[in-house]
Amino acid sequence: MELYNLTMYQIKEKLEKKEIKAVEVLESTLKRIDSVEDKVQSYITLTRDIALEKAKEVDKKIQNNEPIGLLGGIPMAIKDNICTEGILTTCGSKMLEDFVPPYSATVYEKLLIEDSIMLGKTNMDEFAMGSSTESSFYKKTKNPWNTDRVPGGSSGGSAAAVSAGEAFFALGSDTGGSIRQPGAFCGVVGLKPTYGLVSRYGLVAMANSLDQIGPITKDVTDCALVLNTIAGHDFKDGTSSERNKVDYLKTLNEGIQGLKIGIPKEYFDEDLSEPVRNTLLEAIEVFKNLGAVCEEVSLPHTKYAMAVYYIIAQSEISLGLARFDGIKYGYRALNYKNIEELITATRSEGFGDEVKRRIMMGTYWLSGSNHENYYRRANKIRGLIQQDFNNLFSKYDIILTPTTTTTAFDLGVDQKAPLKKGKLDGYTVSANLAGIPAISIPCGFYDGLPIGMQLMGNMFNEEALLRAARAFEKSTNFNDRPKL
Amino acid sequence: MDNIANLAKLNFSKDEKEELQIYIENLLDYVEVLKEVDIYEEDTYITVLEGSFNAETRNLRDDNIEDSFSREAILKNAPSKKDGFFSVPNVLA
Repeated sequence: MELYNLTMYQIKEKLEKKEIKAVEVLESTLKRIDSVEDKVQSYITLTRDIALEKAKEVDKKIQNNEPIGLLGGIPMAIKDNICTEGILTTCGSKMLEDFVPPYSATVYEKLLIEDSIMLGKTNMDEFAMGSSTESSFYKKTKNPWNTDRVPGGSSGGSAAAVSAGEAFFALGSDTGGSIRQPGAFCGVVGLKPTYGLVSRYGLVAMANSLDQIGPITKDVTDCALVLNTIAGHDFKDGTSSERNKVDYLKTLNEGIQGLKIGIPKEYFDEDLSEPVRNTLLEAIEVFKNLGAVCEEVSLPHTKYAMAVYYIIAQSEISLGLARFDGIKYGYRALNYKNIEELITATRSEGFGDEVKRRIMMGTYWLSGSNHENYYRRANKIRGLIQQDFNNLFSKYDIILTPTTTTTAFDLGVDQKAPLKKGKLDGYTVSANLAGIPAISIPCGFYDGLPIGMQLMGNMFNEEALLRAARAFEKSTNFNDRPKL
Repeated sequence: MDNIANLAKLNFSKDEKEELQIYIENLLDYVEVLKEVDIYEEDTYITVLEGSFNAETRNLRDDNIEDSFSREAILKNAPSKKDGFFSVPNVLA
């Protein structure tokens, strides 16, 4: 088997036993990128030279019997809305075409301290707004399982890169499902951690109360390994939690005998396609056979989640993106007569259609009496959605749902009907609204395309989430790799 | 629409406005569903933060002066600069 097809854990073992060198792992991955990137187009920027330097450094450490970091020698990719000092960070937007950040996100620093090797920055929907990665200013990423299909979004480049063997893991960001949905579409594991578990310092914000950074990996063990390295308090992020660190690998393989799983009926509605429904019903049987107790439950406010999400996310977007004015950094329009024109022309030319739509709506939700009628009302219903989850988590450990209604859809469909795709995010937004952790793992295939299952857990209970996901993964075999 | 666009500092062509109009109307229809929810408790207004926004209960960083970015680093990404400052057109008429 080629090195690029192995998991992080397998690579880690081989490096530690000195069976292979970090440079060989890197070269295998770069060769893979050379042969498939034309078809998949996961990356906006590749950083080959920096990667090679770093791999040589790691080899030197191993040769000298010096300790290496937890991710020593493992090639990875970072979504292009996470700041990397000295390396282009575009957010998939024309607005930041030349932006080279003078500082690094905390997560990126943590990954470097653990000696991982960055291959480059991955493609994404513009400012993380979208479900197909097609709103990127730069390119259209393809689904590695079928290149006529989308990879999902907004972290589509990250999910496609891991799925195609162009990186061993990648970081994404998730505001309404942007890690889990592309994870499901590309047949990889995607985790949105609890709000506050992972520092957002250096993540270009989309919606501050919803955004979280998380890992996209080939399997659940790798997911726990990455989470171990990026979780933890950060003084640079005022919303970051001060809880003690947890070793997510420690209890990963303890099994799920007696685990109580709630299956909310609202997530098995008429929007759910038959193939995904049938696959999920089979997955529930797997959990029962593993000793879990599965019961039907209800999350009564689920039907309001999308509307609440639209209002809150768009409102926060309109505030967050107010900073793009063509003065301090980023694109500036060529023709203007005064400061007003400079700002308006810069924003009108620099932002794409989807971003402008959301800024307009957010401005509307927050203006005048709409603030009370829409924004505050949405926030109160957000509270009711959170209460639904709190009620369930007093009796259940895990909530099991599909990640998406269907498998990956065709390229070009999403852009035409901006509201229709709302239903696509219908199963993922509630976790962001409630702040709880949620993971998507592969649970089957239909017509050659992967299907994802979502598991949601209580606040800061990533341990139970990962343990359940690992137990399922161990007793099934859905971690195939696409043939490209 | 022109008022919102002005607040958002965005310009739209006539065609773009027509498309946007349809999007806005559809979305307004879509969120109508929220009006059917009975909201009787003010305190369901929540935060996803642990604890609260109260500065006394949140452990904020000490307010000390520390080294920050150099002037050069900050100006490096500026589209227009002059004599160590950001450069913009006349603000005062």
